[in-house]
Amino acid sequence: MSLTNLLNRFKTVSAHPTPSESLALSQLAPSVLNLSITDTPEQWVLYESLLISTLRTGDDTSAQLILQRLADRFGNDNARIMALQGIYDECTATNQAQLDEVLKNYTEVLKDDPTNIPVAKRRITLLHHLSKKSEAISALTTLIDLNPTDAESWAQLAQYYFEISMYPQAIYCLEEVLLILPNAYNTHARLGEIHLVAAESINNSGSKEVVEKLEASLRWYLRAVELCDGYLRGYYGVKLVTGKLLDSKISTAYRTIPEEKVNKLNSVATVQLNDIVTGSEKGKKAFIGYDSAEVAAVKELLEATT
Amino acid sequence: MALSQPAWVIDLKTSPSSRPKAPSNVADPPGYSTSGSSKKSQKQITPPTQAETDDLKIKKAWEVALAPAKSLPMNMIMMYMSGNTLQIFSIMMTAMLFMNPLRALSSVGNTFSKFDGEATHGRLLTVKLAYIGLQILTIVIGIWKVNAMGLLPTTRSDWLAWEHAPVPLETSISNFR
Repeated sequence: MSLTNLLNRFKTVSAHPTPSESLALSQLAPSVLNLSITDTPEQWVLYESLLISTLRTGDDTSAQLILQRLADRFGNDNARIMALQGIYDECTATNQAQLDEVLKNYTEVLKDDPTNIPVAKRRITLLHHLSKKSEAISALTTLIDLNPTDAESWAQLAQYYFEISMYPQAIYCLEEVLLILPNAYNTHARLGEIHLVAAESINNSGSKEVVEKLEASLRWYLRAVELCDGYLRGYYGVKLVTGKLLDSKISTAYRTIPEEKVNKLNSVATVQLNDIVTGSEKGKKAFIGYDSAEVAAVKELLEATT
Repeated sequence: MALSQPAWVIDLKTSPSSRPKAPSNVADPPGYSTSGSSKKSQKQITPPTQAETDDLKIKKAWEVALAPAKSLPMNMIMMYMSGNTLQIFSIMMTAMLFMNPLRALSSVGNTFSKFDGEATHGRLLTVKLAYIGLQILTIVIGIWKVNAMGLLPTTRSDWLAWEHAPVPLETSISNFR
C-alpha cells in the first residue's frame, strides 16, 4: 500500500476509535514500517498516528521501533518527541512506582524548560490519571496563564472542574473557549449540559436559581442547534431541558421564557429527533454520519417521554 | 453489539447525588471572579434633567464657537511666514482666509441649529456673537496680509487716475538765444 492509501485509512477512523478499529490500524504497522523513509511531513504524521494505535493495542515492539525512527529524525530533545516518549513510558509502565517515575521525569524536564507545552500537557494528564486532581488543575491553570489562547487547555480545564462538580468554574472555562472559537457548536451544547447538571445539583428544585439555570441551558442548546443544522446532541438537550421546564414543580413566576414557546420548542425538538432516528435507521442519505450510540440514546429518550 | 453510551449522555444521566462534592481547596481558573459573572452589578443610571441637557448644549455650542480661535495663531504664523510676493500659493492662502470665514458667516444659523431650543435660544445669542467676532478676526488677518502684499489701495499712487497734473503758478522760459 502506498503512503497516501495508508494515510487515508487513518483519516477515515473517528477521533475515539473502537477497539476493533484500533486493532485494524495497528495491524498496518508492518506495511507502514516497510515503506522507505521519504522524510515528508505526511510520513511522520502517519508514524505518529500509528504509534498511538500500536500503544492502544499493546504492540509495544512496533511502538518502540516507530519511536526510535522519530527520535533519529527529530532528536531526543524535541518537545513533541519527548511527549511521545512519555506516552510510551506511561503505556509500558506496569505499576504505580513506574508511573511516579515518569511523572518525576516530566517535572524535571519542565524545570529546565517550563514552556515545553507537549510535556506539560502530558504531566497534567498523568497527574489527573493518578487522581491528583487539584494538582492537575493548578498545573493546568499555570499552563493557561502561560498560553491563554489555547482552546484545548481551556476545554480540558472545564472538564476537570466538571468532574469535581465545580460548575461555575467549568462554565467560565467553556465561555473562554467560546471567546477563542465563537462558532464551536459542540462547546455551546456542552455549556447547555453543564448548566443543566448545575441546575439539577441544586437541592431546592423549583427555586428561582434552578429556573434561571434551566433557561440558560436552553439558550445555550438553542444556539448550538442554530449553528449546526440537525445537531443530534443539541436537539437532545432542547428536548430534555424543555421537558424539565414544563415540569409542574417549576413555578411559572420565575420563568422569563413564555410557556407556549417552551412547548413549541419541545415539539420541534421531538420532530427533529424522530426524523433523525427514523432517517438513520433507514439509512437515508441525509442522515448518514450519526453515531449509532447517540441515536440509540435519543431513541431511549423519546420512548421515555411518550 | 451493546453500544456504550456517549460520554455526554452519561454526564446527563448521572444523578446529582452520585456526583462528588466540590472540594474547597482547588485553584480557580485565571481571571475567574467568585462574585459571579452571571450577576452583573447594575448601576442605577438616572436620566439627566432638562436643565442639565441645556447646560450641556450651551457648553457644546461654546466649543463650536471657539473652534476658529484655535486656528487663528496658525493662520497668523502662516501668513507671516509666506512671502509677500505675488505668487500662486500666497494668493491661494489669502483667498482661503477670506472664503472660509465668509462661508461660515453665511451659515451661522445652520451651525448652531442643533443646539437651538426654546430654553437655550437666549443664551445662544452670545455664543453666536463670539463666533461671528472670531470669524471677522480671521478676515482681519486676511486684510492685514493683503495690505502687506501691497494690494490695498492705501497709498496715493494707487489713485493716479484721479490725480490732476498740478497747474504751475509760474513758468520760466529760458531766454538765452
